[in-house]
Amino acid sequence: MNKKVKEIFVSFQDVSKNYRDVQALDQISFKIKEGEVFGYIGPNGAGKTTTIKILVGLIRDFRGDYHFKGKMMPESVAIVSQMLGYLPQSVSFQEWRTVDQALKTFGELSGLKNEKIEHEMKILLELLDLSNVRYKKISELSGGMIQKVGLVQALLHNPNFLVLDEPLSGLDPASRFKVKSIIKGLSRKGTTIFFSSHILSDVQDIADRIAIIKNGRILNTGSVDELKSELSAVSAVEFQLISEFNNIKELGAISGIRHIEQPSANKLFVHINDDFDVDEVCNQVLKYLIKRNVQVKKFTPVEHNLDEVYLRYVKGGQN
Amino acid sequence: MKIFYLLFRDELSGFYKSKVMLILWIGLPLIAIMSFVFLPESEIDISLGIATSSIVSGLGGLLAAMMLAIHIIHEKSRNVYELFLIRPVKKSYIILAKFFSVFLCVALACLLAISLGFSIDFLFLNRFSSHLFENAIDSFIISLSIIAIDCALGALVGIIASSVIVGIILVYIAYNFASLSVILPIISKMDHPVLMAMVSGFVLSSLFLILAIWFFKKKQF
Repeated sequence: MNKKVKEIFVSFQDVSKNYRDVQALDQISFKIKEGEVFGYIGPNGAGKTTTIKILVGLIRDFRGDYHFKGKMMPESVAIVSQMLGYLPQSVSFQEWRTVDQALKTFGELSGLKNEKIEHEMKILLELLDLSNVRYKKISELSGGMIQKVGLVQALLHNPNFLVLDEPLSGLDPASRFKVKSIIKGLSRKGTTIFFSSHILSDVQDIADRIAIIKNGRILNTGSVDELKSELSAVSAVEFQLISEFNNIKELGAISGIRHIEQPSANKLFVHINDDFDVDEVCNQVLKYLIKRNVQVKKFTPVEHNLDEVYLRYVKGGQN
Repeated sequence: MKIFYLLFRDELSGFYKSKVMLILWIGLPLIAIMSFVFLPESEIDISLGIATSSIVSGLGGLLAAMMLAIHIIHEKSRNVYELFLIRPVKKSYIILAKFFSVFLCVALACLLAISLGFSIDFLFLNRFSSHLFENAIDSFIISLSIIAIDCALGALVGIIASSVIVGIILVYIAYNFASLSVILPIISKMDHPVLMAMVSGFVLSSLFLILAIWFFKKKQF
């Protein structure tokens, strides 16, 4: 009973945004609690970046209500800018600057003293393996390095609220791992994090809760487990056979079967439609196999993974 | 004002060592020296300082306008300003910092070239007169007016234009009209041409800057 009730940090209520005739966001609503890692997934052009630009105060003409720590936005945008760390999707710096110059400028613009900038820069550059490029010009860096410099500028002033637009895109596997662990570490320290991605495994690894967006509308919000449970708990049944089976076309005609995969002659994955009873369909399959003298070694239910949940929503399943 | 100073200092440190500025730092004074070396003395019937000032302000102003427009178009298209605008930075500060840093750099390059022209007048061409210093000041004021207009024009075009080619064309067209507003009072022998140049410079550059800031504020990132 002593569990601290976390404050709502960000609240979007029926937020819409049009670009002339194009509806980029259509009445989207979500809440992010303090200290939460909120993943935002959707295909390209779904409205992820527009949401983020409203969130960080770059887009101010939108409809609906956006509250940041209880303050109405965009009127109180100054509060966000004090607490915000932001990494854009394609981060870009003035190319004549060195990494050192760019970070010092952004540190100063965020109100940090020189000693603090120096201290934080040293730690973060080392953490992201950028110490050796500190005095190099931005124009000499690779895309992945620029992305990491972007992350340093976002973290330099220890923001309470971190907004990351596709933070892992363009990074090599080692850097991806490092950035993920930084995000997890910040989350443990209580930083509220909003991040978008189209890479599901990243979201699954990091996020406490997820929103799925498509065509400017949020299709569902919840934890990974909640989203999975929105679909039936079991998506498919794996049948391991002792004897070989080669008539999946006929088996597929059983009512309730969506499709069948056969990775080998004695293994079947029977995918079942959500509105059918798994046990009933399973029973029908077993009867069919026994009738044709196909011996079954074992059968195991296969649960949905996030990929399936995502594809189900995004590739036209639910609207 | 602290934020504006930071941006101005940063832009200045970027511009003064840029390739275009390198051309201006070296190229403009070189024009003064080349005029002295290659033009026969008898053919120069006006002061070398005045001749230099008209050449360098025109050339420097055009290059400054182009440089500013191209920089802004390039930075705009790469969303460079996002990281500034999520911090407590006003859009007007970004434009003004760019304008003043380029203006200052080009003005200094011109001052260097004009001083060199008048020094040659004084030291080698024996054109010493009581009006030499006065002429030098007048030439510099006229040059400053032209450069101010051109820089403001470059900022405005940079904000409006969406591609570098369009930007260059717009700068070139507008530059010719804008420079005329300063030069016309001088060549038509109006009263107080220097004062007129100052007023034109101030009014037109202010107008262009206000428009640039207005368009920039309307722009969504």
